[in-house]
Amino acid sequence: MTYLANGAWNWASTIHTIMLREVRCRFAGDPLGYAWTFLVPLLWIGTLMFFFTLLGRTPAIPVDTPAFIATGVVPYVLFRYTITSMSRVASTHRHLIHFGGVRVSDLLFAAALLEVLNAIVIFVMIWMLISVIFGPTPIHNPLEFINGLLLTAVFGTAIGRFAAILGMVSETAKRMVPVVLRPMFWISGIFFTVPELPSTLLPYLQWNPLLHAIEITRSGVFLDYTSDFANMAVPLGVSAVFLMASYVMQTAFKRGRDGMELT
Amino acid sequence: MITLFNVTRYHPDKTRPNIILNNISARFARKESIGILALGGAGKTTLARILSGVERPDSGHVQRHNSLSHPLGSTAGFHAGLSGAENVRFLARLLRRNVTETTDYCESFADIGAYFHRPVGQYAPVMRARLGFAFSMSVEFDTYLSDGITSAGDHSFRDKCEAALLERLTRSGLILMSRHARTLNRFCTKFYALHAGQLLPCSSAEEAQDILDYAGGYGNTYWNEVARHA
Repeated sequence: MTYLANGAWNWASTIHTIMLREVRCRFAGDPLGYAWTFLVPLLWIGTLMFFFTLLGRTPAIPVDTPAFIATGVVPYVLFRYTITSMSRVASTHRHLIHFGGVRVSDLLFAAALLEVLNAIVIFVMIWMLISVIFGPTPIHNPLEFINGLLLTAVFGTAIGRFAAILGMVSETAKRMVPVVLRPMFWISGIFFTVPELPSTLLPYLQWNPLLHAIEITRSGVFLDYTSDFANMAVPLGVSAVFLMASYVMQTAFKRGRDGMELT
Repeated sequence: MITLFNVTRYHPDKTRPNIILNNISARFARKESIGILALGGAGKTTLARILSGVERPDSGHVQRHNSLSHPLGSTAGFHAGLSGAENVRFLARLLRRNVTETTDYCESFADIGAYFHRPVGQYAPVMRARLGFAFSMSVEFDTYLSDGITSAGDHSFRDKCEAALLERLTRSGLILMSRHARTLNRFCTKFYALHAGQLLPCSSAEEAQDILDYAGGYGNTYWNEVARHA
């Protein structure tokens, strides 16, 4: 029992150290440093609000535009940042595997956990800002909201793990990942809700796990919105497939391009 | 004790696999100073990576019953954007060593002045090497692993490194891989020659050198043929 507890404690300490190192390294040398992690989503929200105003568009549900956009941007940021971060740590911190029994899986897990914590901070910051400017904006169903964010985190982690392992095996695949993921910004409900879409698109978009996760998040936040489309089985199922695929790749390839162990 | 059991490692090739280590078995006791003589490209780095667990063999396995260091003088774990002090702190935490003691030791040993608190990206190569070796010496291991490096930096600092390493070897072991028999003689008491995937025990560094000379260096294919037909 003590042996297990010591092992768990050592592992947690390793994950914590990797996370701290990533926080210090990510924007090393930049005057704003890690603040960029939180500023970028705010800039995205500002940009989308600008286009909403420019196009005279209002959300399909009776809520403030910033709150509507925030419930799309935060899950999307969590998803994209998790993938980017997991792919990056696999290269920037890979030499840590020489020290203290650090494994590639530890690096990937630390990156994913850090992004979940970042997303929580980002959401709290944005929601406080919205509440100050537009008045109190209560979260209607916190559990459903947390469920939406967790589904996003799980999906981001699964794709991130798959992309990171693929990137360690093939340079071409590493370059292709951002290209393949780019359309997700346009098809995941960041600036629209599913009822606004033409019904002809739904058979295709129902396979987009991020759209389901964002719909669940919005249903949790807004009293006036309940998504009939959202189904948590989609993000969970797709995540399970990509997670298994990443483990199969680890086992099949064994080593990355530089000869380092993938496990 | 570190034990290699029938360790084989090869790189896939278009026609036939390029065998780096071929069915190697060896046992290195905890306080032994092992010298492995090999030519460049013979598989020293691969063997070092397999010993340290960074790579796994294609077949066979390695048992480690004592702590083994990262390669001596390695600077691979340093991030260019972090200061020397920050890098040392993070690595000490990963190795579960006392952070303050390790940082103080490295600052004192590396002796790079105010640069210790500046980003490693601003270091001259010699300063980076000094810090790498200082960090290696700051952490106590049962056995130290070296891929040919036994010192770093300029002449006076090299003497300091070698003295520190020799002092450390009074209570720890060493697995040193080198191309130079003289280096092995200085630090080791037990010798091997690594050639064509085989780890051959020798009575002295000179005998290891003789084996490599007799085998004919890079062009020799005898052992490769033996390995392929084994």
